[in-house]
Amino acid sequence: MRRLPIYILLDTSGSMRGEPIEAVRTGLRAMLSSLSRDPYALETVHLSIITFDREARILVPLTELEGFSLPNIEPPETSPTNLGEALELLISQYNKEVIKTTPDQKGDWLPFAVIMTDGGPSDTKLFNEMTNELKKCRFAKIVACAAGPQAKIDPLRKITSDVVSLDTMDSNSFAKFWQWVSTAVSNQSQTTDSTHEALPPPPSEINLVF
Amino acid sequence: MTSEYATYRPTPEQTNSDSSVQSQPSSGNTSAQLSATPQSDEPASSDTLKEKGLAIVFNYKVADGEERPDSYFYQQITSRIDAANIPAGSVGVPYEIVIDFTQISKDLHITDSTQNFELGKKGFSVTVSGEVMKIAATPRESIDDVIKFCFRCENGKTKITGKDETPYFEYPKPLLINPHPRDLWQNLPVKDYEGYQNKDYDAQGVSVEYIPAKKGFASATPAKSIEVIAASQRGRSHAHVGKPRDDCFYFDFDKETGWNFVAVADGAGSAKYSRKGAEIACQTVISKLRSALSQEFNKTYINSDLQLLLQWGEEFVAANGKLDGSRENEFLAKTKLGDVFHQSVYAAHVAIVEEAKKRNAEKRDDAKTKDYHTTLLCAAFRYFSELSGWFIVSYWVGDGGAAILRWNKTERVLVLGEPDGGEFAGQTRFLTMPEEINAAPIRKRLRFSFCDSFEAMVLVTDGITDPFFPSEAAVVDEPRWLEFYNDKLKKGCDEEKNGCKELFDEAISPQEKSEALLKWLDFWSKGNHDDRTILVVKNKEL
Repeated sequence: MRRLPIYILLDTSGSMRGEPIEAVRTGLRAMLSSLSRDPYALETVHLSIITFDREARILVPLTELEGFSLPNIEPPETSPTNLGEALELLISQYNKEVIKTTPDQKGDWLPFAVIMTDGGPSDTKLFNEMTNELKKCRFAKIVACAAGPQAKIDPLRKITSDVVSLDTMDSNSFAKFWQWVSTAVSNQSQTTDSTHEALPPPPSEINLVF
Repeated sequence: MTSEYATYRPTPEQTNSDSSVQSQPSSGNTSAQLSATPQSDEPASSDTLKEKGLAIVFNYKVADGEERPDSYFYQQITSRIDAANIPAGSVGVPYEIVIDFTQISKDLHITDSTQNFELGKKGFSVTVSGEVMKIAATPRESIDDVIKFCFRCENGKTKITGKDETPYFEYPKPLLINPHPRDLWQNLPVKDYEGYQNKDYDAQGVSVEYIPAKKGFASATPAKSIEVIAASQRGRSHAHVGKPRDDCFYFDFDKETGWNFVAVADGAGSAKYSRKGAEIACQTVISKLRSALSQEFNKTYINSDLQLLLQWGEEFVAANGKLDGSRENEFLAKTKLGDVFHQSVYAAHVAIVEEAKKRNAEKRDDAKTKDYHTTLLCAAFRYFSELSGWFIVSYWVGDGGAAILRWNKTERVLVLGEPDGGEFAGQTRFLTMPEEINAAPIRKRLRFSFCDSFEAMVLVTDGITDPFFPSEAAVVDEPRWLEFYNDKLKKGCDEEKNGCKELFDEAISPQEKSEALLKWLDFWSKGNHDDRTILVVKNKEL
């Protein structure tokens, strides 16, 4: 069966502690519940969550939507934002998990990635290296979200042209963002041969960055 | 976070100042923004609980002389619930949550205080064995709710409010039971055909009987009868959103000349008029072949064309069943048959280009050839008494599959071409691509096959190859084809629910067989919900 891999990279640095990370979890849970009511997504979507703070971790490896449960996320008190390391882990997971079509096997659909951060990369050197490396991996879409006033937009533009920003880090903004991602994933799961499904128009809480 | 739904929370002071609180698992709630939520004076009765969430009410009893406060028990019990990390389940799949309450207190008793909880109505059973709780079910329906764990201490006195009341707390956890994808698919009528109407399904079957001709080199003697059975069904993904079927099949035969023609095509999902492209491709290629392979052609060219084959010898034909590369090129260069096929495929391409132009001129909706993208698998075949066998010319562009099964009474399979696929799923080639119209790619895709006899010829779109052939290599693999043919197709149509005892039962008319085939096309395969089309040619005289 051809899977639609979705990689979610979540900033879990100290500033996400407390209300923001809970709002993100609530948003993610709503997204899971909404995707599981969509038969296209339920049959094809596989999700992985990678968190990053002082280190990048695989919170959940690529797992099918049926049976996916969202673990607790506990950001440390204070920590840097090692986004570069997270990209490195994403690339390594991509190479390990995403199945390409060869004469002997049928490949996955082009993967989709969502990156959410409320700061900027602390590991600048690695980050710059990894943004170049990432270009070798083919994605249907990479959406980067700069959450809140402290989030740096320019580094995210090195990763993808699809950058959005949230003015505030309240539960409403996060809810709207994940709802929007859910729609984008749903749309992607319905395509049969297109590799560049356009993103749906975002709600007013989400600003497209040009 | 453990405390996101908690209705009853100890204050931070009480949590932190209590020296008896042991170190918590990392998922503990020590970091949460805790606040003492005032409880109503009366503990909630199980009746009121039923109105909120899916409550499970438990009593717990602490050991005599237990000195630790109820905040300790709150923390311990909730962290054990967290540790169970309640997974998402699926309808029809056995589901179990095990929560381990051991080593919280010496002699902790947990008893199920009521059997009338809402989860019970949804088919869940809750059992407590010693200090381990099991919640199990094979869910019958989807659930997107919370389980509310309600714990009441039977023999404690709350130390939080200082009031003389039974310590009680609720701890909700989300519970997600996913529906079966099959129950989510809708079957909606087509919203807008945009001028190209077709049916959501199609099933046709005919028997073709040849009468022995009296004389002539290229006669159809002796009589060889075939049956053509075909079915096509709109995929779930199209039905769910009210889009039309983009697959198509077509067949024809000419009793005068003895030639038979079959085709299947799969319009690209992303191309808005691809159903018309598929239809034009099938019909044009067959009508062009039929008119070109006339009685006149048989008389003028077939003679010399076949002489070439005879010259290469029967042994060659018997061993390979088809021409190898160099022979194929020679045959193409020297015979007229290759030209006829080339022209017919070309004509199909041109007919689609013309249709796009025509639509554009009439409706001014900027229709382009790529809006009609389609694959095409087609074959023309005929029995030649001079060869004592069948001669099959085929063309295949795009995904799907075509093969001749059990030729010359062996377990061999002749695959009639190669699939075209990209590095990632959903990338293929189409007849309608400009680079496919040149002579070289068309001729590269032609195959010439021979056999004394065959049991069946099968043409399918990728709606069939995707679920049954795990890779492109499998689509050209003989054992895979036999497995599909014997175990899936013949047995699949054998099932009583499909209303056809035996697809190859001679007592059943070809039309009835095609309807059984249509029912078979409804098979369930996770993640495979494209349109499905199959065309089977059965050789009636083995």
